[in-house]
Amino acid sequence: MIHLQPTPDQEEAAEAVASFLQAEMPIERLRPRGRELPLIRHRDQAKWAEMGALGFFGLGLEEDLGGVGLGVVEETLAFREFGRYLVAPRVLGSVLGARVAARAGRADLVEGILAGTVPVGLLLTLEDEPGTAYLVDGADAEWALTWNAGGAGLVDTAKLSDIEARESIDSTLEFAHVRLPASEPEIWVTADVDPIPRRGDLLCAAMLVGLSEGTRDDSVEFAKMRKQFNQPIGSFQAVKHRCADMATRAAAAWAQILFAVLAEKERTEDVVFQVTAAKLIATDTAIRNAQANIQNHGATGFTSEVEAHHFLKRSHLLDQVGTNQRRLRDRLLEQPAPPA
Amino acid sequence: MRIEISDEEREFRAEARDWLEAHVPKVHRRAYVRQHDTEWQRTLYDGGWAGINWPKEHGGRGLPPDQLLIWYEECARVHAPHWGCMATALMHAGPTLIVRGTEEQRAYHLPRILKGESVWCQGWSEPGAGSDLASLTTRGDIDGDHLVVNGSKIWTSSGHLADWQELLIRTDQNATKQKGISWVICDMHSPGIEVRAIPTMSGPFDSHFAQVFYNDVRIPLTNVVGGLNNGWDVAAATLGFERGTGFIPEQLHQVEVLEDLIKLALERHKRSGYSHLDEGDIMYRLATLRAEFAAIRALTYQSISRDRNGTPGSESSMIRLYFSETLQRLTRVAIDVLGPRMMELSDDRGWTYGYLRAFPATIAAGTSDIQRNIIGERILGLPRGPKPQ
Repeated sequence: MIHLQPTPDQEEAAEAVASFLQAEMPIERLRPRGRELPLIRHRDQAKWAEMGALGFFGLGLEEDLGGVGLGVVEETLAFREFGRYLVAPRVLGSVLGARVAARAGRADLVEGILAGTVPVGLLLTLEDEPGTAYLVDGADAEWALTWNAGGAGLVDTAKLSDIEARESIDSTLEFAHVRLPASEPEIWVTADVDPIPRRGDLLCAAMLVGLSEGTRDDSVEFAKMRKQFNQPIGSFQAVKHRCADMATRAAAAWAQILFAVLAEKERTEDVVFQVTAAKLIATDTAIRNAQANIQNHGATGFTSEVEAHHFLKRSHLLDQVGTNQRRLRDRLLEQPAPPA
Repeated sequence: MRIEISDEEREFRAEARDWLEAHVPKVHRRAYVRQHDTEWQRTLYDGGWAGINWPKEHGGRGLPPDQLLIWYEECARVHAPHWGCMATALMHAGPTLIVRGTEEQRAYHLPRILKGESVWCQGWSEPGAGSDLASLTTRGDIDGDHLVVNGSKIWTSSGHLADWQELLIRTDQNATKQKGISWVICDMHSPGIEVRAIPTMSGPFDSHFAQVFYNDVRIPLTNVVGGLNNGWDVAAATLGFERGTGFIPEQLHQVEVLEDLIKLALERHKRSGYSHLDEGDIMYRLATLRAEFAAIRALTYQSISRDRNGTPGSESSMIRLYFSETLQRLTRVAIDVLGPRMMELSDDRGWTYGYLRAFPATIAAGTSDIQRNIIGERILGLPRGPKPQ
């Protein structure tokens, strides 16, 4: 039988992550302070070593490689919490970067990445401008993570050229346009050695569900508190039903993530189908929930005085990290139908 | 979180598969034809497969949810007949009698249901009481040891085929809305009952909808289930009986429909000469549907996993809402793939039929709007709407 419910043991690590984030990195940390641009990297980097010491970046990595020695289930549950608390996207760099370094035999790097003292940025390659990319969250990083269908690697940021700071729609991100080195990344792990690209899509999907649940909870809380026409707006079906749809979408997306993570854990024959479906549905849900959350908040929803816009922008970023929706749809139709 | 196929499950699957392959009718037979549905039920009974989800002490097979899922998967694989007009008896009336009926009521009705000897219909909705079911006005007045029933019920599936009806009537005119209702077993062959067929929008293949009129229909008081004026409570007792598993056969069937549609779309695009833009639109929707049906399956597994751990999920409204709306998107794509051929109602298995047949999915057994209220109020804790005047 398929047991699609995490055990209390599997949930333990994610609960530790969640309680740390709630205490140390509440969503309110993103509120602007005066005219200061709240660069999330700067805020979250202060906590990075602490998170590293708690093992958050090595949950799914084997113990003999320096990790905590839990599995992909625990790691995925933790990423749902990273999403919920809008943790800097470089968390993907740290977790997947450590895995890349470990598989490539670079034990010297693994330790620092896991400890949170060697930060790893993210590269978003630009297909319409070959040889270039956006470097996200990476100005202070010695390494940047990149992946495609064939594998995952770490690029030495000292070898990036034409670095030009750009503004991003997401003001919490540090963002630069860069030229990639002509040669292949010095650290590269092919997908047949370890399907890190697929794991990346799965972890992005889990973060996206965390975002979807975050906006669901934000909307529900607001709809109970905000009154118009002498009633909480959540008593009106127009708002209540939108919240019900947010909850339903998030539940479906999370169930599919669990199915995909189980397929990944057991390496079932339909693992590609399941992970692809998971990221596709998680992305769609995160963006639609973020849009609905802005609508539910009324005029305040499109101001920077609430966090609603951050959830939208982060959802769009995670769509573009790894395999985006358009390619996911292509891939999903290429797959054989999953066995019943 | 694990996949664990036990020997017991393997053996059960093999047993189910062997039996189904030997007994499923070789030619497809339309459901909601009484003879088709009751014959299949009798076949199930003779093979020891009747009431698979009913407790053993009441003549069922008492399958746990895991094995129930296997059974449904195997049924889908060989296109076994659906419940058809036996649905209300098996999924609703029988289970209600099991938890709230008297010894006599159970002893009489349960074996007849299991053997396919009696067909049941539901008598809940009224012309003036749809989503607001508790405002029903069909009344039952006590006269000696009988109730005398007057009024009308509507949108009754299999009304013209049924022998018995699970009937909700108002037996206390002075009590507040929900308090004065009783759940009674109504003999559909009683004098004073008139059944009027209601054709549905899906045309000649759906003739199982009806309105029922009651004119001084006498029902013995011994047919009251769960006590006089307790009907609302009795009705609620088995609403969650399926715990989400009741829709599994339909879900499995629709996954097959989707895969057939993907094949059809690819084949037709080779010949049709439509542009890439149009092809992209169809493919976009089909890919999305593949992901959504995967999620529906995952939701169901999750619900069963929770059941197994003794913590029944409150998510059955979510599964129902999500499934019914996804189903409607699926059938709509089929129409777009077909082009002008969609206008031809060729047979009762066709795509157009499926499209028309999907409209009730967001209306019957609690509309999507009611499901959203349930999700909003019971799961998310949002305040109830303004009280009606």
